[in-house]
Amino acid sequence: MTTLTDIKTGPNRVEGRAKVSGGAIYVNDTLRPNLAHVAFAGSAIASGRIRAIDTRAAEAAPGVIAVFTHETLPPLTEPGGMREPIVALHGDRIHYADQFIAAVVADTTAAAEAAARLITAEYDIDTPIATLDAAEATAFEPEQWNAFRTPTSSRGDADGAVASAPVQIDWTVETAMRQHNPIEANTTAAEWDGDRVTIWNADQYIVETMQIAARALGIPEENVTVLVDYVGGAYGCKVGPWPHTILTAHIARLVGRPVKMALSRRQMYSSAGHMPATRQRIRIGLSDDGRLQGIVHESLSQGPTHDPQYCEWAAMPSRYLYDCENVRTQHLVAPMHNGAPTTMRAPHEGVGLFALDTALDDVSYRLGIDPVELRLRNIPPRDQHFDIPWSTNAQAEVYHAGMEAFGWADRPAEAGTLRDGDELVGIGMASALRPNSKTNAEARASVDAEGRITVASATSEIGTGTPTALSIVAAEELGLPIERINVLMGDSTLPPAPYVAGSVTMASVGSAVLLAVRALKDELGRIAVAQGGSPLFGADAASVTFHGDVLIHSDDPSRRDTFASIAARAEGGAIFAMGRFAPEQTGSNSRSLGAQFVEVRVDPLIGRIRVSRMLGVFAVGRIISPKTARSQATGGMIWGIGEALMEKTDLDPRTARPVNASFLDNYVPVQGDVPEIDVIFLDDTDRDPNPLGSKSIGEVVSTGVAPAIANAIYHATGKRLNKLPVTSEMVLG
Amino acid sequence: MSDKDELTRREFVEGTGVLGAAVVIGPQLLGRPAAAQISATNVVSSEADVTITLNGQAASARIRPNVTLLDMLREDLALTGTKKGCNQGGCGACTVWIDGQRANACMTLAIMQDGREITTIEGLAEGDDLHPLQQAFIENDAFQCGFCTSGQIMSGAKVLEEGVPTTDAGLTEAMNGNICRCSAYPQIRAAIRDAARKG
Repeated sequence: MTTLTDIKTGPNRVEGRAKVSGGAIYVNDTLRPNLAHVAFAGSAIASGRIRAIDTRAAEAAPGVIAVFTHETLPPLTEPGGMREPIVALHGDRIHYADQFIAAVVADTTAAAEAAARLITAEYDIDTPIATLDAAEATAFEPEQWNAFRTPTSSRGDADGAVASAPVQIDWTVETAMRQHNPIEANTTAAEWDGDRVTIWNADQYIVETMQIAARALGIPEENVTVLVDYVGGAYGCKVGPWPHTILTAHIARLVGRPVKMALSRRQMYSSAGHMPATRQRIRIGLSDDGRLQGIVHESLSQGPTHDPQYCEWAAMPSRYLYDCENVRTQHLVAPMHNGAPTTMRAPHEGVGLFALDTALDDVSYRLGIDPVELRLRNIPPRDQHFDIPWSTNAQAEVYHAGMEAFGWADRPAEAGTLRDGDELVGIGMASALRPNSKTNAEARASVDAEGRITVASATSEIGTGTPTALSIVAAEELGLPIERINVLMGDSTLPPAPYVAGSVTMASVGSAVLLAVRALKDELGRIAVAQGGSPLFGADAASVTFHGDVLIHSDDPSRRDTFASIAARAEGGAIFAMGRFAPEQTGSNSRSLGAQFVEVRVDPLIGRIRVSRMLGVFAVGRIISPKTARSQATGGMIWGIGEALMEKTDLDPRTARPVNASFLDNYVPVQGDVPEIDVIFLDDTDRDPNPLGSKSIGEVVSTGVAPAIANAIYHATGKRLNKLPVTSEMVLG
Repeated sequence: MSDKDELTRREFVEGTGVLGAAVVIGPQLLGRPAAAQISATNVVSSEADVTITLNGQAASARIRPNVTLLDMLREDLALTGTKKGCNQGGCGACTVWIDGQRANACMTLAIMQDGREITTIEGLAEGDDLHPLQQAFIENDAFQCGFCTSGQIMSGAKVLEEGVPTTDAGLTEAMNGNICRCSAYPQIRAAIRDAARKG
């Protein structure tokens, strides 16, 4: 068991100096000769048609180079595969508020933004669908994404088991529409050279952006290069291209000069995805001794009217978190007039756990069984959804470690009994859950004549610490300090990497880097014994051992060579090797698991709710980079505070326009909302083939916090709350 | 500075106010044509010379009066370490020092800064020697994506000088204006305390 109370454990981030000195370059820092700036004007309505659009004032404004509308912009080929199809500036139809109706190109950002405000339009206005209630009548069953993300599931006789169980709960919860709100808005720059384009994009999936841009722009993939040094936060809203990405590249070609565009904060609420609102009904049946007999979990999630692909798979945790032979789940999507939703930290399980784990908490009081004990009685012996064994399952250890470290034994069983001055104090917990995910990835390792070691893969750094973790992987394999490793990322021409999302990067790209470094060592040994100038010439490759970057003959230690010398003698002065990771189907499954323990303080007179103590216990595989992994955990847990107590995008129920589209009106956690946080990582090395033994971390750490906080509020106040975010008025009095 | 003198604050605010209304509501929804746009265009077409002391050195630019200090730093003076997060004073990513006081550069018009002393993140280190708070940020992992970091450090370094108590309550009150969406808040507090001890 590793308790990471000390923030300073582990190597510092390799890009730390750049980030603290203003030297790290983000897309909006791109400076090019003759750069022009793009600003989009947005639709005032959420549903209808543009009848007329007046761009004259904008065209006459100072610094304006060009203005494009749906009437003047040459249309793009719809490339398919985008999270938001390119409907903006393609036809007169309006599907959501703030949909782009014009693009202004000007010589400065200020000029482009000022001129965009001068665009006016007349509309034929339709009544928008702006609430889940209004949308429910047209709800539909979404298409499945893969073998796991399916709209329905059924094992055993769930409805019958619930109906005949001695203890039953029928519980409906609502979770809010939320925004990713990275501090760096989604940003794109583009520059053409003949029929080749370079796109700088704040991006979690530059390989996909390259592929989709090529299709939309009608040029071969090899003519598109996507670059990004650093991404200023993402959390799901920068996975591949959004319409602004492709439109910016398109406009750069039309105006014949490099252009740059950043969404406004307001546009971040319409044009780069959101977490959809859900309404979930869960019915659970239990035996008198607290064993689950049946679960029926039904979820309705907010979709857009113009694109049916996204579903929040909120009923997922009921399929594989607890031991239950009778489970039925269902997902429906209710179309509203808003931009396309997308995955947001933490999707699916993160949303669904609020229903499942508040319901279980409620039942625990009725049964008189401790909430943790109730969960300990329902640990699944195998993956019951796929009917295969677990490769690892540290679920019981997670609960025990959390109880001990948090002092759970001192918690009074009865709600509403702890008080500190005017404040009611409550202690609650919930489980944390996400799949353990990995996917195909490639990496290249190389060494040059100066002995510089480089690992390269087309992933991008979004703040999760990937360059640091990849440096550690390579350095450990070579027995060298991490300063010796140079990591190349953020360039779509590098070996292909998957999306930096779904918590896949460490196990996927990290494994590819490990395989590449191993291949590089093999290559160095093989080449050295065949190089005429090498002291190892003629030796058996098997007799060569590695000591850092020195190769030594095991029988004659005076025969030795170095990476730099071998590379210097090689053709081109460098040696390269590839690593390709592809996960195997193993017949077993594993999860990224955890438990969240929180203490809250509620002032019932003014409705103030504060989280005063937090502990996260996680079984998430072998920890590669302790410092950045710990920061992932604390950051994710704080995201849970925002989900639980603050974040909600309010759409005007008449117009479907967001009424709080700014940091001034839609709160996210700030310093004053955040207590000291403890993190425990259990020893949980992944035993499914993955040479690193790591598991998914980035999202599971954010799950379970909202139900834990709601459960703690119940423990403090006796109020059982079923809506997120929980706000002051819900706990008054 | 005659261009600046001719532009009264009231005219400017009225101009931007009308423009703001046009984008939020849209005059067409109100059933009347867009008003005052021609005068607003006139307002932003004039230019002014602005000279500041930037990180200890003189810097000047000829800019339109609707340009913020943030845009002037980033586009006219090519110093991109100061970040644009929300452009409306809600996140603190653009925190700089104006005459030694912390301020949101996005909420400050560049033409109002003529003759003032501006310090940005690029001016904090002394040569290769990082400011103690910059070093403490690295050691305490007080950032993830790094986008809010310039603002956090410019705010935190000033907090150290302001004599704010380095208790949780003191630091949270003084640093509440700087959002870190990656949520490195406990690490940021630890870094400021570290720097306070060493400073």
